[in-house]
Amino acid sequence: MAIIAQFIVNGIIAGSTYALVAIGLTMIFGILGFINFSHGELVMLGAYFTFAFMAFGINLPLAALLSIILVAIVAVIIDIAVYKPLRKKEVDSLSLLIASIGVSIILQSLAQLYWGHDIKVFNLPAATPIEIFGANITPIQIIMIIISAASMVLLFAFLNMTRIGTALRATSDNRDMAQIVGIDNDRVIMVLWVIGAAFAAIGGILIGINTNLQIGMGLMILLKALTAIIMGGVGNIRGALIGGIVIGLAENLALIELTPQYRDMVAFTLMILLLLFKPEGIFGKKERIG
Amino acid sequence: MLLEIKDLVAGYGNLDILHGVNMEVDKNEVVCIIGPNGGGKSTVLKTIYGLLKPRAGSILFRGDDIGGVESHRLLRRGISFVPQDKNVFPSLTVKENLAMGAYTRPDMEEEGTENVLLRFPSLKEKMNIRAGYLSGGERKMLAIGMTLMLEPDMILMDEPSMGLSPRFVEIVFNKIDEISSEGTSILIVEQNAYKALRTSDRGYVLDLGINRFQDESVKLLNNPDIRKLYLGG
Ligand SMILES: Nc1ncnc2c1ncn2[C@@H]1O[C@H](COP(=O)(O)OP(=O)(O)OP(=O)(O)O)[C@@H](O)[C@H]1O
Ligand SMILES: [Mg+2]
Repeated sequence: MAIIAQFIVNGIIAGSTYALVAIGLTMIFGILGFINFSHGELVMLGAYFTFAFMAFGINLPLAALLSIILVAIVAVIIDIAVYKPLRKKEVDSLSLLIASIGVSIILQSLAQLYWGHDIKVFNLPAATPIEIFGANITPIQIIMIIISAASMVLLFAFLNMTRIGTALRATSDNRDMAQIVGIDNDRVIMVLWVIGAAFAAIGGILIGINTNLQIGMGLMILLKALTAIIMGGVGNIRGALIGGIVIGLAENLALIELTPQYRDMVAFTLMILLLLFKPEGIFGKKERIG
Repeated sequence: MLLEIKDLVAGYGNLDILHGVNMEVDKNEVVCIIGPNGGGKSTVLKTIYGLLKPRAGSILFRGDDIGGVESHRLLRRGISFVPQDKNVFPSLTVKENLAMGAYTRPDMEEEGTENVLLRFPSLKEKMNIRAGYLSGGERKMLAIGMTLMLEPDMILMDEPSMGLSPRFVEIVFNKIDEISSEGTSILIVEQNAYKALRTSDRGYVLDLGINRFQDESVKLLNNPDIRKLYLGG
């Protein structure tokens, strides 16, 4: 029983990072129409910038905040330099995907040039775990869960209660109609990147706190997030959230039977099964048919 | 003249679709454009509304050339557009859709919503329902309602009767009558040529990117050539 509780706790922690990353990925797909392959590198940069600020002696919360802001700026600059000119040329989504693979590799290379390829860890004081239902959880892990939950609540409030948030959903629904009612597309896209990048950065920081930092950490998390958005229905934000948590739980609960090296297999088996049997995602359609 | 289109050439890619279209809409007029599929009717509206750039000719609105001016600026000048299809945001509620209709003028959102609900009372109880779950007729009401949010001087409507049951076609054309009688000029494109000609003051027949005929709607309706060529005998 205790061991199951532990797997559930671990699953929720992993799942919330997947969810944070998946939410940005699915929103970018909804509005720009492509899978941002470099989304994992925003996760990586979130972790590494925090690491770098902490190396200057800045404390974790402030370093994290600065890192989130910096990653958002990087994402907006990349959009202006790469994706915006491509959008102007009205290239197809495959070209955008390929461009984002290029961006992913460039960001990884630059990061490796600067930070080297050895594994890094945040320099945090050792924490004493608390026991809940037999599961060990450290205070910092509790804070991680709270931060993830709070980010998502804030996002939903933003999307549902502000004008620009509603405009974002509207653009994701129907880009042509958004232009027709006069929604400023450039502004919406900038807000989109800020949210997507900030969420990715938070995800990266949480991974850094919980495990360690590697230059290539983005790819695996990208693929997990991709599974989450397929599960949730591509473009569906709530679906991405639930999908992320489900994958985190599934791969950790699978450890009851499997050894850790098979963990990743669980998520991807799930993805293939979903693609085969429920390609539109688990959470239905938003439009009635007929 | 409120709207004057002169020798308009426009198209997609390197293909011209409109080859010198001339049209006028006066204040308080309902003008319709009819003609065969692919004749360029929607292209005319898209070009007026700034979604396509004119390649030659001019579009004057109250005497100012608005050719190539972006949609959000046209909204501010008093022009709105209801596209042919996909004209609502399906995952947004009716209320949010109306709010988006007033996106460029948030100060008009409240009053606009009240006015739209007076005109389309059936939307009142659907305010918190997602537009994607509305029936085709309700969706059309919503789409027209969205363009009314800013109290425009001129509405461009692309096939308002498309996909509607006869009962709803009747309702939509009654609403168009009502809206125009309150001082809004309307330029409508229609497949349902009979209905459109009965509702409008004047009409244009657009065929292969050129206006072939133009006249008062009653006269077009009674013109044997038009009947034979465009109204199916
Ligand atoms: N986005 C586009 N890209 C390229 N060609 C287009 C595009 N939209 C329309 N066309 C072409 O332009 C021509 C005129 O189209 P348009 O939609 O203006 O016709 P229409 O008179 O509105 O027809 P319908 O009655 O079927 O709506 C057609 O030949 C069509 O194939
Ligand atoms: Mg058309």
